[in-house]
This record gives sequence, structure tokens and C-alpha cells, in this order.
Amino acid sequence: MTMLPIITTVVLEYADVPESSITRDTDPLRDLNLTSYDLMGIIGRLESELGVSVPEREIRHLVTLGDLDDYIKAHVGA
Amino acid sequence: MTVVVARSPGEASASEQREAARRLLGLGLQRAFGISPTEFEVERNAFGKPRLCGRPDVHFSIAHCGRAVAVLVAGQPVGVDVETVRCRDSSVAARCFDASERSRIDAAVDPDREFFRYWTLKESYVKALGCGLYYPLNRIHIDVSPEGEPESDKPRTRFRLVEAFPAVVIALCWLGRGERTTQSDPVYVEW
Repeated sequence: MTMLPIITTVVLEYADVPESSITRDTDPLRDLNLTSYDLMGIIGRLESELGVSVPEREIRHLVTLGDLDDYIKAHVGA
Repeated sequence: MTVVVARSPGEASASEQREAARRLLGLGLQRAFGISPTEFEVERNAFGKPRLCGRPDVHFSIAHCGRAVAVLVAGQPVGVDVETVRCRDSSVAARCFDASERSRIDAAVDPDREFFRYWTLKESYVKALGCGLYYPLNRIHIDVSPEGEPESDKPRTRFRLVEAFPAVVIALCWLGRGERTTQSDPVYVEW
């Protein structure tokens, strides 16, 4: 099951953009003008809400929100 | 080393930030290297760090937030970061700061501002390295002292904080590579 709706809800707390502009292909740093600090906060929120851990070494590979969705789906409840 | 900074009169949009950053970069390149502010092209390395086309001797870094823009231009690798001071996120602190750093932040007079001093200093370091999020922030230890420059556990690396604007922290980092670096005071320009 996709986690994108939950990811989108959290992202919208950081980015002042319409919800319709957020897709799997969205790069939060490039497309939403978020900073790496915002990204760390978003990941921390998702870890807390979904009970998943995203190690520092994995963050570099999570370029788009689709990448983040795929990672969380594969590791939630693990 | 040339530092150019500008404070936004209000909360600047993303496009306003980018436009101001481009203008400040032109000013910095002109001051530091005599490069015409209308005749330069920027490309990015594999990690997204911008560099000047055809001028490998020119190093620069750009940072912007809703309140300010900062540009650092030098003849050696440099990094700059700027953040608006807001409520600190404890999950970010747990991920990126060690126990000593967290303890110093919690004990500070203004813990939120102290948090963003540490954050921007670490970010300025990874920007100087040119690898962005590819370098975990918990791999560098920073000591912010009320007196003197911030220090780290990395050799030939120097830092400076610029805190001329309310609610904004700007951090500068330059990689010495054994060279003597001439610091210059920030140039403050109109937004």
C-alpha cells in the first residue's frame, strides 16, 4: 500500500505548495524549495508516525518522494 | 574570500530567493575575480554542487532562505549555509548531533539559535566538500565557542558565523588545504 498520502500530508507542513503539485516524482529539495534541514525533519516525522527507521546512509538514495515511499513500504513493520 | 549577504524585507518566495542569489553571485564574482556579473555560466557537479563553467580556479557556494541570501566566493573550496531560526526539531538533533553537541545546545541561552548555529556549520562543511546529503552530518563534530571561531574535528577546515540579521544564522566554511586564507568582512547589499 502506498504511503504517499501520509508523506504528502507531512511534506505540506513544510512546503507552501498546492497538494496537487506533489507527486511520486517530486524532488523536495529541487521542486519544493525545501532545505536539507526540512528533509531531515520530514523523515523524522515519518519515522515517528510510521514506526520505520531511515538510516542516514539511505537518505542519499531517496531523491524523490516516490523513492521515500518505496523505502518506507519495504521497511515499515520490519 | 568574498562574502556577500542580503536580508529580505519580508518572507521571500523561492523565485525571489533564486533571483537574489544569482545577483549576489554576480557581485561576489566581480569583487573576487573581476568576472563580469552578466557573463558567467553555472553548471553542477554529480552531487549538485554548482560551479563556474571554464573556471576551475573559482569556488563558490550559495545559500538562501526566506529571510536572507548569502554567497561565498573564494579560490579554494567553500561552503555557506543560511537558515531562519525557528523551533528546533529534536529528531533532527538526535540524528545529526552527538551527545556533546546536543548538551551544548540545550544549555545555551537561546537553544533554538544555538541549534541552527550547529546545523548551518555542519551544512556549510558538507557544501564545501561538494557532496550534500551524501555526507552524514553526524560525521563531523563542531564546537561553538562564545569567543573565537567555531572549531571542528576536521583538519585544515575553518568556520565562521555571521549573525548580523535577527532570526537568521549564516555559517561559512572554507577548506584550507594548507593555504593561508585571507578573510574579508561580509559585504551587505540591498535585497
